[in-house]
Amino acid sequence: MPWLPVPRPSVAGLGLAGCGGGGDTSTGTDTGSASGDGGSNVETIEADEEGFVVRATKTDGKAPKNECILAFEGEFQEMHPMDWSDGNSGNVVYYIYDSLYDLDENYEYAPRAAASYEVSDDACTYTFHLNEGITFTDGAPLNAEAVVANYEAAINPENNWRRRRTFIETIDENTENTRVDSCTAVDELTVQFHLPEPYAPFMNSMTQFYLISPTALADSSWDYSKQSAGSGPYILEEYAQGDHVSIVRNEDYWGEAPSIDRIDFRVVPEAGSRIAALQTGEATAIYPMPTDQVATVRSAGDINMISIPSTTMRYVTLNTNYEPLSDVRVRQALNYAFNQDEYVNVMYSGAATPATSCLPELVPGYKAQTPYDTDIDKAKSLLEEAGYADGFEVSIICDNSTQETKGATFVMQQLEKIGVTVNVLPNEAATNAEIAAEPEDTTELQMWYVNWSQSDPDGFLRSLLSSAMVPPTGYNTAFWKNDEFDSELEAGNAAPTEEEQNEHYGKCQDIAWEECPWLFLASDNTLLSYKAYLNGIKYVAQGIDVIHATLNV
Amino acid sequence: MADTNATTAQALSAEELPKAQNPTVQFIKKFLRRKTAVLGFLFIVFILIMAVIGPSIVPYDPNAYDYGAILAGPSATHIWGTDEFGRDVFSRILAGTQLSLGTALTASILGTAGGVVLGLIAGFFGGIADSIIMRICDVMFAFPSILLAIAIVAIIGPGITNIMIGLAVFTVPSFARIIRGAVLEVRGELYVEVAQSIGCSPARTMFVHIFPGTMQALIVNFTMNVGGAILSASSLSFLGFGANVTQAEWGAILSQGRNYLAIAPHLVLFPGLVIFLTVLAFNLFGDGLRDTLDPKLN
Repeated sequence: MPWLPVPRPSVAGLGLAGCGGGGDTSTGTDTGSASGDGGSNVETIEADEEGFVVRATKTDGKAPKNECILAFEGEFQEMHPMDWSDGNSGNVVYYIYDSLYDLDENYEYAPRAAASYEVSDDACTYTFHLNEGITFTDGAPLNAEAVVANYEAAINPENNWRRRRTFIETIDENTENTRVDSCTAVDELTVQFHLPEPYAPFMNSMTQFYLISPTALADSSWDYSKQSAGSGPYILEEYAQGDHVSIVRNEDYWGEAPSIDRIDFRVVPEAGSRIAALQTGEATAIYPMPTDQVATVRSAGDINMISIPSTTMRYVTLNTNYEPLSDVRVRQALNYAFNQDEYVNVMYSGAATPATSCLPELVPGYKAQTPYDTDIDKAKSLLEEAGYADGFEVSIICDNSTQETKGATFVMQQLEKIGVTVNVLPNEAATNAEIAAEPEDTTELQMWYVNWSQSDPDGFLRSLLSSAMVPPTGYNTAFWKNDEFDSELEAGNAAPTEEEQNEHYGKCQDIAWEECPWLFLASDNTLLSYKAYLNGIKYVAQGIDVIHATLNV
Repeated sequence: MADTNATTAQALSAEELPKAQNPTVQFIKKFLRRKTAVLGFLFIVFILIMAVIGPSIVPYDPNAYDYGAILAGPSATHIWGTDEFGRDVFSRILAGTQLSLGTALTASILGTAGGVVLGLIAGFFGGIADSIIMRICDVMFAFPSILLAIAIVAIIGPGITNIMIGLAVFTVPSFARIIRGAVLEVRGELYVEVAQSIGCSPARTMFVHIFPGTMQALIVNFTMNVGGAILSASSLSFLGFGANVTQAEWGAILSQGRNYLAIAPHLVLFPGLVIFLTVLAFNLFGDGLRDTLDPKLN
């Protein structure tokens, strides 16, 4: 699945970068009518105001047990709360471990282990006030000392967990920049983080700073995939890589007790099997819902389907060092040639939003740009100006899943219109990760059909477009280096108010949109289907949330 | 010279027949009696013609997309329906004949050639050469053939050319064994001894005198192998090892169609049917050939 490791994990959980199979098996049709006129059979997915595409008509069904089974397309790769990288794992970790703060379904900060927080005027000190009486499942108290112990474990280079990058920025192999100077326990329930300079994404990263029991932290051989060590509403029961993760209710949970006894996260990669599992009740909810099976869900009657805008951006990186793509006119020409509306319809049956910036609309700080409306003549004249009137040949890599391959093929068809020949090269996700990790002078990457999901604008812009994040350090696989962009990003990072921050991030987006390091595609919706006997399922930044959901048993 | 020797070989097998007619005429007569084999043969001829003229008679450009007619079922405009990009399935299958059949034939020819050389060497020289070659073949036989091909493709990378190599490699051992067996049968024959005694070089004896004696086994197995190779090539493409996703190739078309099985079964039905019929045709033809050529059945 996702390409690993990521500089900072996807806050929008599920659809982590490169979540290859990130998908729905595509274009929908109306089952019965696939015949006859030779016309299109695409059923466009349209959601009502509450996000429902299909509303169950039979709502008196009962769940066989007070257990929720969630069928996912992708794997759960890692149960380590500070070292996971794929969104699916993050989704499970979210149930087991508490973070100080959380993001709710509106992407706003919500208290979790901490009851409140305040920021000093210079934006350099964050003070968190912890809730009273939280204990880890092993009995250890979750107090200020425990948070400090977590911080120390997180920054420990020997552990080298992925979450270390929340606090330490890697400039290059030998240079590191500390984002947090220290973490101190003021009293039993008050903890302070001291930053050397304002760092806007700090709060966002706190939502993924999952707290581990000091007992487990002290034991370097602790296996988090066998035994959990959190304070969250659920406890790990069993983790079978590639198959399932089961979690059971934490009877001693400090907060509002969840109602569902047990949650089973299952890996069901085949879209058809997922749908079948939902129909038979073997699964309570499925993610993602394949876009072409809407009719199946509708006819079942006891299934709800929802479509929710996501923080996933789909794009094609254009290696700005590669000969024809090094010319900005060529890159703009590609964007003028590409028809985003057709992409949204063919690939997502309409359940997506054309990209109007390098950030998805949901991400704070998003600034709408003037779209590159499809204009073949303009694209051709731009190519001609750049000296490629006859087009050129270029290769695109993509994950070898159905949906990703289809997307890359779509790109090929679109660019054919202006004489650009694209060779589609689908690879294993791991192979693509290797290709993408090659440094500038040895890389063979020309174009990459990929995606990224994150709710933090800095994470998005920095990880993918800043010159410091050129592989192998990060994921700027366009090898795009723009000093103005970099300085705006830094300014945004250090800006004390959100308004100023957004102004700088907005400039970053202006520059990226103009310079086209990417072929801008779309931001697809999260499609989720679930049995009508499940109430209160939410889709939050960390993924699917059924912690406070109930089942009609 | 070659002609004379070939005739000798045929004359030998003709010895067992009661009346010596022109062997070709006799063969054709006997073959025509096997209806299913004739049917298979005719279908093969048809497919071969399609492979040659297919790309120029397609109703649509096989790569032309039509986003307004996605996954449309069979109709008058698209007799076999359209795929996920609105491309005409019939045109894609027709255009793909060349690639699919070409891959299988090339792989079979390469593999057979390799097998023949190794089989001749093993059978003719015996001894250490025989042991080494046959043990290597045994090792390769221990792998399921498709697995072996996958392993080869995994090592040298995906692509049509590599599929051909992969398929050819796993064809080699079975032909080596068959040819070796046939060589052992004819090696002791008097005419071979004569050839050697008048000073023919080993190479000449092998290829000019012994090889024609193995032709019968060769032709039958080659035909059967082509059918298998079509299936294997399609399987490899289906698994994503072969044709590029954007190429019209039977296995690749089938593989992409599988995702839409529930809503657009025609995407799987038609390429599946074409593969099935072609493989069946080669097998029926091969069976017919074997029965016709087998002296015991006459």
